[in-house]
Parts: sequence; structure tokens; C-alpha cells
Amino acid sequence: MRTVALAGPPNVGKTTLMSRLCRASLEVGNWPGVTVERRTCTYEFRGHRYRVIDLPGTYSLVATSEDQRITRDFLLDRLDERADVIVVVADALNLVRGVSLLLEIAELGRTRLVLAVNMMDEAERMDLDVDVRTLERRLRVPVVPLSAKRGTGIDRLKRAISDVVEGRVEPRPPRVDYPRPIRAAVRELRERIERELSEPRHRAEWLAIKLLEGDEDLLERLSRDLEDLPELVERIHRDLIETLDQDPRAAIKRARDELASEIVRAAISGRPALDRQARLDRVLTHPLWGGLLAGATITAVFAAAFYLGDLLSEPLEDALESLADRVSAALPEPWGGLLGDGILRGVGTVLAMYPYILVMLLLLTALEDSGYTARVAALLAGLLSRFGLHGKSVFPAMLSLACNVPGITGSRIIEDPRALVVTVLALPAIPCSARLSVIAYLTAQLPDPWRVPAAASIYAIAVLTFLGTAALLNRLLYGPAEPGLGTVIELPRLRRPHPGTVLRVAWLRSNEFLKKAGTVILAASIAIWALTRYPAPLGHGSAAELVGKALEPLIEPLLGLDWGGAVALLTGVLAKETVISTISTLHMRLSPDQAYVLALVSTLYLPCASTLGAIYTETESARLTALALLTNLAVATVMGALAHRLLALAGP
Amino acid sequence: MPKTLAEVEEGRVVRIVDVVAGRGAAAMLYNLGLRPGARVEVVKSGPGPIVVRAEGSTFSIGRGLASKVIVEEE
Ligand SMILES: Nc1nc2c(ncn2[C@@H]2O[C@H](COP(=O)(O)OP(=O)(O)OP(=O)(O)O)[C@@H](O)[C@H]2O)c(=O)[nH]1
Ligand SMILES: [Mg+2]
Repeated sequence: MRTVALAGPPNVGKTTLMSRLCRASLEVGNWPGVTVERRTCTYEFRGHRYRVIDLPGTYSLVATSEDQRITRDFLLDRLDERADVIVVVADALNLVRGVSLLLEIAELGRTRLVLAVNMMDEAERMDLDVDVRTLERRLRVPVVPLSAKRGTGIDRLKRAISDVVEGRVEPRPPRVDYPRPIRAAVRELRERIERELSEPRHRAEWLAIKLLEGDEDLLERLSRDLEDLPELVERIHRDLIETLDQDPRAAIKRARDELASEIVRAAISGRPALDRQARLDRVLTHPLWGGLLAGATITAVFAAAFYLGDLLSEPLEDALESLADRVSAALPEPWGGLLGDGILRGVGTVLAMYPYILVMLLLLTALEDSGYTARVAALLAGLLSRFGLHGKSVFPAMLSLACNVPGITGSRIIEDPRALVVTVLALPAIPCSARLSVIAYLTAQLPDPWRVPAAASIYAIAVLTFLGTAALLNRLLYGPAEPGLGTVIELPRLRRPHPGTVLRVAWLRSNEFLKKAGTVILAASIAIWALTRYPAPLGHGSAAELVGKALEPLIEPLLGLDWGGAVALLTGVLAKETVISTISTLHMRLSPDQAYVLALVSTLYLPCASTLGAIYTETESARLTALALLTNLAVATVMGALAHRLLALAGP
Repeated sequence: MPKTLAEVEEGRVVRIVDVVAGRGAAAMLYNLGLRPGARVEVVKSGPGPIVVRAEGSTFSIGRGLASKVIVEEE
């Protein structure tokens, strides 16, 4: 089997291209040791099988995030597999980046390269002409123009790949010509590395360049065997700053970029018509107009999720309900009760949420794919960074409105590790659609003019809690944040969302929720069923009641809720929407105040079991997961108690 | 005369001279190609974040950080 790796800057269409190359047989897993998705697939071409690996997008091989580290380590053969060909995917409208990355990979001695110039459809639409011949002549690697979206140029790419694998074409990409002082410094470092770490010459040279480019991860690893390396690098660095009169990192990158842009300039003609984009960006990132538009957009997403979700959810709910009835009638006790009332009804309540989540995820993913979410992130970045968050926290926060689990997983796009942790830990404060249903159900019990304002106030409190928790955790864990970090957002071109991509991504995201429904929530349903049935049925001394009554002396003065409220909250830990079914099973009568406090507290207190699981997977730290749990609980208690007091003061 | 990126008029093209931000922010700008010597076009100045175009990509930068990027007009 031959291995083809797809490398390239973020968002240039690597994953789309991959699905074009293979059509089917996509496998999704994780890179060893980290939770970054690893996608592979296979295809056949002229009697040979090829395995395609999709590398995480990266601007350069100096690793600044987990994703980039994977790409770099893969290219360094650190991950036990080796590519026979590396296809560098570039965006036709931004070729310099791709070409510069190609030159950087070539420096590593990996010269079996193919340049895939993607997004040709867009280039044509903008009258931008890419001269493939010139690129090939200057780069001396096969260059294939294509559109992964339309599926054009795919066969040509497969041919180019096989040409390189079989040696019919031998790429000889140009070397970057660095200023003399840098060459001397590279030589000095290279010789040390070659001699003392017995690395082959080209790799030693590459390592030397990366050390001068300030790759701290590499420096740390290499200094394990070469103790004085940090000092040596430090000294060379200082000397270079003096002779070059600029940072050597800048000088190296600039030399590479200059070669890349010179090559690209020779090959493209016509200027992309970006001015419509610029005009749009002026409006979209304007605090007033952009802010109003963002508010309207989110409202529209909610409205659509309600409307479409209802349409889909009601028949599903009815079907599950009647199935549960039939099962519990058909089987002898306790099996009928366990399967029908416990499992089917429990899992059913959660499954009935699925249509809402799916519709919301589809819309939010479409917004992301169109480039709009990045504008909202740009708009809010200044505010968020003041709370220790990142502008990009907007992406997971918006997904969290549908379901916290894909939100937490989606936090990976945040490059700053501190902001990433803070975002993951604070996200559970954002009400997901399960909590939306609890809020809707409970606020419906309020007198008429108060329903909508009450629900809205809970959302407002939740968002403030999100910000407050983030600021608090940031203080606790790291101390004051570096100002401005997290306010730089790349704005991808605005475009019509691609239905295939949106469907696929939304499906993968909603799957995370379904998976939990089949595991955590299944277990939870059984537990709740047992707790509300033994030793005696609910209302006559079940375990849940006993626990609830034991908690009553605590929760009554604090929140004004009775034992039923305690039971509802307890069951809600497993999945928030069960709060509703507990209230109805217990035939609880709630005063308007109680309904409001219960809605508020069940929104804010402990994250549900699935969310806790996701936090643990993402942070790989029991301590941080416990911290998330405790802060949420503490904040919810304080907010609930406050609401209870204020409502009591305000009178009946 | 040098000024900061936050003070440039819309539509102007400037060259970055220096980035006087903290380590993390400077490294991030650097990685995105917003480093000394780079030419950037200011698409939007205020109010709200600054939007710039460099090497065919568009970035938005918070005003605070933009005022730590020293530029000179061409
Ligand atoms: N117009 C156009 N859009 C494309 C093309 N190929 C991909 N896209 C779109 O570009 C966006 C990014 O595509 P992905 O395949 O996710 O990009 P990627 O390189 O895998 O991104 P990362 O994994 O984040 O690095 C999606 O919205 C695609 O629909 C193309 O040929 N033409
Ligand atoms: Mg991808």
C-alpha cells in the first residue's frame, strides 16, 4: 500500500479533497496521544492501493498548537508511518502560503511533493488566472489545478501522485537562499546536531533552521540529549540579531516567503475582486450594525430550531411513547417496567431532543462554513479576551447552544492553550437545547406577561455566568491574561455554505450527542428508574425521595425548593431534560417563584454527565474536570439563592 | 512618520515596522505573517476591531493589540 499525506494551511480544502479522492471508506480516529481527529481513507488507481492521510492544517512547521505539532511530527517520521508522497494543498486565491509551506517541507528533505492548487472554481469566478506551467517550471514539482468542491482535476492529481511514487517524475524543489549570517549559524548548529545526536545531514540542517526559528518544543526535546543546546541557540540568536539587525525568525521566514511570493507573482494574473468582501466586512465587524445582525441571526437560529425541531420531534416522541407503553404492557414485571418505563422512556426523552440539536447544529455549521461565525468572533474578541477567553471561543459557545458536548470538542480550534482550558471549563454555563426545553417548560408555569422575559433573563444570566466563570478560572489557574492575545481572528472569505460539508460536519457533531444517548444516558435512565421505584414506588418512600428529603433542610432555606426540587435536580445531573419528566412524575406543584429558581438552577448547576465526560476527554485532567464541576455548582447555588431572595423581597 | 496600525486610514497600505505586544500575541501575529517587513492593507479602521489584509488573507485585530503594531505608510 502506498501512503499519500495531505498537508496545507488550514481551511484550504484538504478534507474535502480527501473525500473526493476516496468517495467512501473514510475512517476517523485519533492521532496517538492526543484528541485531534485523524482521518484516513483508501482508493485504487491503476492497480495500486493508496492510503490517504489528512494532516491537520498548518501555516508553518514551527509548532504552535497541538494540531501543528502532529503535522510536523508526522513529516519528521516521528509517528511510525511515512508518506510516499506529500500533496501540499493550496488555496488558489492565497497561493503564497501554500507554496511557502511546500518550500518548508522540501527543506526537510521530503521532496516527493505534489502541489494541488485548490479552489480553482472560485479563482475562475474572480477572473484570477493561475499559470500551472510557470509554477511547475519554477517549483520543479508537479502542479495540479483542481476544485475539490466541484470534483474537477481529481484524476489528474491521482496521475501526478502515481508519477511521483513510481519515479517517472522526480521533483527537485528549489532551496531557499538565506542571508549569509543565517547560513553560517545554521551550519554551526547543524554540525553539532549531526555529530552529537547522529541525525542524518538534511534532518540536522532542518532542525537547525527550526531552532533558529524559535521552535521551543523542538529545543526542549533536543536539549534532553544535548544539555548546552539552549545556551548555544541563545548565543547564536543574540549574535544574529546584532549582525542582521532583525530577529532571525523574521529573516528566515521572510526569505522563504519572498521566494514563494516571487514564484507566485510570476504565475498569477488578474486581481481577485475582494472589494465586495471588504465592504461586507466593514458592516459585519461594526459594533452596532454587526452586533444587531449577530443578535438577529442567533434569534433566527433559535426560531428555526423551535419550528423545525417541533415538526420532527413530535412524531418521534409519540412513536417512542407508544413503543414504551407497548413494551411495558407486554413484558412481565420488573422487566416491562425497566425496559419500557426506565430505558425506553428515559432514552426516548433524550432522543426527542435530537431533532432540535440537529437543526441547530446544521444552521450553526452552515454559518461557520459561510465564514460568518468568524465575523461574530472578531466582533466579540475584544470583550471575550478581557475575561481570559479567546475570540474563537465564540465558535464553541455557539455550538454549545445546541449541545455542550460538540461545543467542548469544538474548542480545539483555539490556539492559546490557556484560553482553551478556560473556555472548556466555562462552557457548561451556556444553556444547551436540553436546558432550553427545561427553561421553556418551567417558565410556561409563570403568569402571562412574565414568560418570555423570565426565559430571556435566564439566558442573560447564563451568558454573564459564562464570562464570570471564565474570568474567575483564568485568575485561579493562570493569573492575569496577556492583553490582546486572542483578538486576532483570521476572516475566511465569505461564501455560500457547501451543503455536503455542512451535512457531514453537522452529522459528526450530532453523533457525539447520540453516542452519549446510547451510553451515559442509557445507564442514567436505568439508575433513575431504579431510584424512583425501590424500595417503594415514587411518592411512597423511593430512594430518590429519601435522598431528596434528606437534602430538603439544605435546599429549602437556600433556594425555596422542597424535596421534589432536590430530586429533579439530582436526576438532571444525568441529562438535563430529565428534570421535566421528574417534575411530571412527581406531580410537583410549583409556585411561579419556585419555577423560576428551579429553571435558573437547573440551567447553571452541574454540567450533565455527557458534558463532564467531554470535559475530561478534552482536558485529560481529573483535577480540572472537578474544578469545572465545583465552580458550576457553587455559582449556581449562589445565583439561585440570590434569585430566591430577590423574588421573595419583590413580593408575591 | 511611524504610527500604529490602529491609526491608519481605511484603504491605506502600510508596512509593519515593529510589534511591541506581549510574547504570546507577538508570536501569534508573527505566525500569521503579520511581522516586521510585511505589507498590510487596512480594510477597516474603527469603530470595533481593525480589519487588515496581508498576503491575500484577511484578519481582524482588536484595537488594543493593533495599537501595539507600529507601521509606516508607503
Ligand atoms: N469554492 C470552493 N470551496 C472549497 C473547495 N474545496 C473546499 N472548499 C470549502 O472550503 C472549506 C474548507 O474545506 P475543508 O476541506 O474543511 O478544509 P481543510 O483544509 O480540511 O481545513 P482544516 O482541516 O481546518 O485545515 C469548506 O467550506 C469547503 O466546502 C473548492 O474547490 N472550491
Ligand atoms: Mg480538514
